[in-house]
Amino acid sequence: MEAAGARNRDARSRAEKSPPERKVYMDYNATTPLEPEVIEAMTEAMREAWGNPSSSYPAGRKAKEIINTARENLAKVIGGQPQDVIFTSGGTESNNLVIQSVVKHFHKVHAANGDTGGHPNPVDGALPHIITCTVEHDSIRLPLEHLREERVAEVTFVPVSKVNGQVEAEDILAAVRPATCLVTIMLANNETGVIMPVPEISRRVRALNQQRVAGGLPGVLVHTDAAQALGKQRVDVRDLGVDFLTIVGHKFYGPRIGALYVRGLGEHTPLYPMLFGGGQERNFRPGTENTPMIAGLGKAAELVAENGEAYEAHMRGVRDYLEERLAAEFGERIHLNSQFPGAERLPNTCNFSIRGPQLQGRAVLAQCRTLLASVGAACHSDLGDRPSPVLLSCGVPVDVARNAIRLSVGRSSTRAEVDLVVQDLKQAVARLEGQA
Amino acid sequence: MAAAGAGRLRRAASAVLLRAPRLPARELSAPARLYHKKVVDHYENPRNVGSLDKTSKNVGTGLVGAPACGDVMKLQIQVDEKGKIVDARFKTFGCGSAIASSSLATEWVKGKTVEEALTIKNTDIAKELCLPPVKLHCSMLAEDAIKAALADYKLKQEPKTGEAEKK
Repeated sequence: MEAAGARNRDARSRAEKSPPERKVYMDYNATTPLEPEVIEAMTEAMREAWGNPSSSYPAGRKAKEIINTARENLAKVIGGQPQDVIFTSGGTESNNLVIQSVVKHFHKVHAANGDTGGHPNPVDGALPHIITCTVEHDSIRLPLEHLREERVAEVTFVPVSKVNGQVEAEDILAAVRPATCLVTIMLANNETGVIMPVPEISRRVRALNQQRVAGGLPGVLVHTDAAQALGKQRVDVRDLGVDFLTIVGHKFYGPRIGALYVRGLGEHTPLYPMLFGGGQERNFRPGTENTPMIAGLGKAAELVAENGEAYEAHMRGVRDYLEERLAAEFGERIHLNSQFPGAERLPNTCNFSIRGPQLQGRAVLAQCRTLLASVGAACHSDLGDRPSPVLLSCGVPVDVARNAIRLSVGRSSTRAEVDLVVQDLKQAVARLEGQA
Repeated sequence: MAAAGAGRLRRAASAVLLRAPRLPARELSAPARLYHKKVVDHYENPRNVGSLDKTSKNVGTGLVGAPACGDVMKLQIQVDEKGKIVDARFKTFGCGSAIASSSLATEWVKGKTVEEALTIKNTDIAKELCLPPVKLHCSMLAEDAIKAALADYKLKQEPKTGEAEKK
């Protein structure tokens, strides 16, 4: 009897105590874990290739080889040449590097022409002009705003269409002035997943440049921040037609460094360094190379080159299932903020709002017990309850934008995880509304 | 000894079962969930487990899922000259809900034409088995398995691709 009572209590407590809550990460746009092969490449480099890559003895040579191989892998995955790729500390550095380089170039070429042979300089006295759009990442937006404040450059932030969330090539071209020297447009937006029409923009700028250069105007260079796109869809600099492309390792299961692609680096396209030092990266970005990180970045790129299509198909399948389940579960209450008619989007991103006065994105996520996600860019987590400026720019109404949640699935996300997440969201919403 | 043990087990089990009526009220926390009896039935009395000859022109084979995801289903159909599915078999690696979903799928496709079988939806399977929300993906996979088997069969009927070895 005693034993039976004890067993009954055990059974009851087993029934009452819930298992440790399983966490499901769906914030892959914020960052990705490292693939096991990437970690392996990095630790091997740490162990075996710690020599200074500039040294001529074998230990240094080995490190140099690893860096060269990584550069080749990176070039291959974007369809470029290895000599056009330089390693940087990440997307922020690459973006800043491009911006300050074009400004320096403008001053060097056009400000210096003041008194050469009396032939009129059409941009004499003008500040360099840069065109971008209103939904860029902070590492593009803030350097440009800073230059504008310091009166070093002029900037036009072209608004994105409220219909399809994209920036229109037409609007970009309309903003071009004589002193324009750069157009920088992200390839895919981190919050909505919308893909910008970069190939079209490049094509039209190229056509425009033929006339401009003939008239003595600066040619307009095109940059795209491909941070979110690489690893999720095919990225080829030949198809994109860009002069600069930013690569960010920690978005495609690589380490926290990046790279910058420059078309015809040192020959066709100028690049002015931000740092001066020991001559590494052909003086474009000196500093003793971070061999382990570079090894990891190269391996991550190799994996994308080999499996990119499979990754994309898998993520799309899981994301589409997620949207089906969300629609089935919440019906009319759900607004899919990342579905714009006629716009392509990343295969893994789902930005949605559940309508309701108590359902601010952050509040819902705080009530979730399984889901790990964000309401927008990770670097904006200090926005409090203010809705995302990106969503507002895309025409999402304020009360809907306030409730936005961004889910971004990854290579290992499964439909089983989607089921768990949808269930978690349903319960979170019920709790919030039950507390009214 | 065994009888006494069984008695204690039954009492412990009934202690858990007595909890069952209170489950709806406690839905907001995470109570222990029991498999629905329909799922248990398919698990304990599986229908149509096995294989058909995948090289045969009248057999369509669908293989979906991935071991890494924890769910793999193979579903095969045998179709007669009039386009009616006369036999079906399945083999599934996965949880009880996955097994039940694919087992039910084989039951449902039998007797249907290839066109009719295409209309089977994951939501119907889930409803029939009373799958809990966290297992709905299993019914999705079963629908994918049916569609894959039908696609394989159709591919084999095309004149130039007569070869049986398709994925």
